[in-house]
Amino acid sequence: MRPFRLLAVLLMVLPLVIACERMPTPPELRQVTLLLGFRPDVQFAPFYVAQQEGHYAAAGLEVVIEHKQAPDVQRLVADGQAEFGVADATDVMIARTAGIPITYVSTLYQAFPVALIGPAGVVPDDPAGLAGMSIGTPGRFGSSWHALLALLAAAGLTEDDVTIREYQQFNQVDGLANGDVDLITGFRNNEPLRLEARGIEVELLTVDDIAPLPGPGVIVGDELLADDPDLVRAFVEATAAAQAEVIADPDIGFAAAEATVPTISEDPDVARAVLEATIELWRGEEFGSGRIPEDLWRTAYETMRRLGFIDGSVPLDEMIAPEVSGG
Amino acid sequence: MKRVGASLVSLAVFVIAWKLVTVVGSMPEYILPAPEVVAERGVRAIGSGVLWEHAGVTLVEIVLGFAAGASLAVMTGIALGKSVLVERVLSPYIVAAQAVPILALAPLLDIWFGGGLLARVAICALIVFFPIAIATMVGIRSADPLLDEMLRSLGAGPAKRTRLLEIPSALPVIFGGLRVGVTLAVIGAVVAEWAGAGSGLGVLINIANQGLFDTPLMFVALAALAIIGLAFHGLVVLAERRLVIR
Amino acid sequence: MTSTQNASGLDIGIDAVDVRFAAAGGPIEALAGLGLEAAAGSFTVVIGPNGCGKSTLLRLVAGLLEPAGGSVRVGGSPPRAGDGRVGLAFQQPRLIPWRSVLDNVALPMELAGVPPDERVQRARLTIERVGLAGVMHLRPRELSGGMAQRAGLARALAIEPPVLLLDEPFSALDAMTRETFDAELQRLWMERRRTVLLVTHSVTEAVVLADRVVVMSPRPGRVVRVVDVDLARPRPADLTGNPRAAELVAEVRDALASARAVELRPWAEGVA
Repeated sequence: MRPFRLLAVLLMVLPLVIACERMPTPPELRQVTLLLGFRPDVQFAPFYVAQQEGHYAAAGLEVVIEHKQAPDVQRLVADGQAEFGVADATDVMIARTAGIPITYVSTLYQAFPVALIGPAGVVPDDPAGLAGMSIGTPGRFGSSWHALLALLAAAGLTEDDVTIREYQQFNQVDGLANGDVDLITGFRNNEPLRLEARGIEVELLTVDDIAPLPGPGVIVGDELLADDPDLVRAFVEATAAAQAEVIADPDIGFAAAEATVPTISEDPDVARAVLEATIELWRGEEFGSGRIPEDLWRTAYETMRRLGFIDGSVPLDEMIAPEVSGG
Repeated sequence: MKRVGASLVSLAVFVIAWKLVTVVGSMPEYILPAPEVVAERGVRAIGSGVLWEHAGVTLVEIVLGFAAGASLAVMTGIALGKSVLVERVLSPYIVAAQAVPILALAPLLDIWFGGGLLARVAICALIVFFPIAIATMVGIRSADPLLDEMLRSLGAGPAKRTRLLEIPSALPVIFGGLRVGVTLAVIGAVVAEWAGAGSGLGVLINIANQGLFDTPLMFVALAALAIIGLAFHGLVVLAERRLVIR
Repeated sequence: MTSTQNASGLDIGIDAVDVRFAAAGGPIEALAGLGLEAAAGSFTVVIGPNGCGKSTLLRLVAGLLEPAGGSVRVGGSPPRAGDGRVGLAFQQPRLIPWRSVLDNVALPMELAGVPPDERVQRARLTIERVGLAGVMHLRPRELSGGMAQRAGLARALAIEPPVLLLDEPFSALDAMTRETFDAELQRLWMERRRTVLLVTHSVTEAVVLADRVVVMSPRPGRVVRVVDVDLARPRPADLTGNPRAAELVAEVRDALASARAVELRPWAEGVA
């Protein structure tokens, strides 16, 4: 009977141990939830640094990170089930127009991360050269799709002038490597690295000079922004500070990410290269850490309206809150 | 008429309960839209042709996928039912294929079958296969051995006994499998579309959800799938009434 | 004495047959060296204790089984199921539930390739002969037990087989219906003298119907006695008051009892 008694005692003690681990935070720190994309990644280094190096704690926050897929991030933040999220700017425009009450409060990526990627020599210098090409993309939604249509429209083209091939498993890289498509949409800090690792030299066609679009940033629910702007500001500033640290010293960011992201240990060199490429997208002299460039947004708003993704019923100033990180 | 009346009442109860949930739970439209919002969005989607464009694609996938899967399943089920050896040889693979989640297999199948309508029909057929094959096998084996002996005494060989006794005996059970199978065909078509399709109600769900952040439209697509499933199920029940003599 | 008028049957010759079945504990000998002759157009009844192999015997003559040893002949050659020489009716009606009575009775002809018009017509005739004309379009589950049993009999008769095998055809019916059916069976047989081999438990039924009563031993089955029934035909189904009938019933009973005694003795002596 003794082993059974021991087991019974353990079973009774176990819930207590688990409960202890989940003890509420010390009263000085407010617990908030941050929703990030699909799974932990080295690109979320600023958040990991802010958690581990005390930036959030110094701002009186304990930040719990959860991972969700895109439309759920917007919905949960809007409904108040999470305080903060990271979302693409173009998605925010569409969601806000569709009636989801979120506001973009801080820029994370000063450069728009999506580009058209292809083998050297194949990628046209000018979007007019896209006519007749086959392009691989995850699907007919998201910032990749918006960027592609914006590039085509800049040359007076539509999706009917190209052949679209959907890669719902986000494996358009394989399609390009196999020669199934001429070009793919992808993230500047991801697909080019993977292709170069396969020995394929690539070139990029970016939206920046042709149809500029804002990059991903932090979103909050309208209700939270109205009720507690100080909380929002505190989070945004702490995050911006941590991001600045990582930009200045990537090692800090890498160390914090290594502690949180399980897959980094499998291929640390690739993760490191991704982090450094990502830092290039965060960095920008034009408008400073976290700030929201209103002119860029205005241009992008018009582009999205002309493309038919939004109908203009919700004005731009309801979508962004530049005052949060301004100043 | 009583049956129709009862169905209408239960539908009304369902819609009212739905509305109550949205009101009592203060559900925002982007999380759970109220029935009238979905209805209005549906009317707009039908008017703009969007709904039919996608529903038509999915209907074709369902019809072809179910037809292919069901025929293959009935033939396999007859073989399984008649021969213990065949059952022993085949059933490990059939059961294993059923146990692997189709959602994981579907992208691979999509590539193997060339990514077009054929791939989606194949995925749909695969999902439909198992319950119909098993139902057929059980049905074939349920044939009355006394009747079997009677037929043998009249000189009927195995083929005649299958046609005259085993298949008609199996029909009630087979139709049970077909009812399950036809509703699975709807799921199968959506799963197949998620593996890589340009249009269809499954794709519309994705577009509405991730592209347009239009939750009411997503519910319209879901409602369309439910209606399609009900319609096909009803057709199978009608066929059952005609073909199965009790 | 049996009349050979209107005789349209074949003779049955069973010569020292052995029939064995495989079973979990080892092979079972159902019949061992059994021999039996039935003249063309005669009515033979086989009677015996449970498990003696009477049904196995019928299946042998029907061509459903082959003997391990010895030979079976119907009209001089071994029987083959479905060649039209033998009609078989079972203890249960064994009608196909989703076919009408008419289609059930026509089934043997359908399997033999008889064209639809002809087989419907012939089935109709047989159905009328057994008195089921009013229900021929009904399904089996709409029939009473007696009607269903008659339909099974009609199916066996519809192809006009020269040999008719009946496996306890009326044992599932109540006594009154049984007597009526025995009388009807005798009438049908007297119209067209085919060879009949009928298996039963009922001694009185045997004496009413048979030209000869064959008594079998317990398993493994052999013939232990043959009783000739010399009563004049047509015989009433109720033979009480007929002294000769009483003698014959007693003789058959005695043969059965001594056959059973063989079975009972090993018990009493403690042999398993």
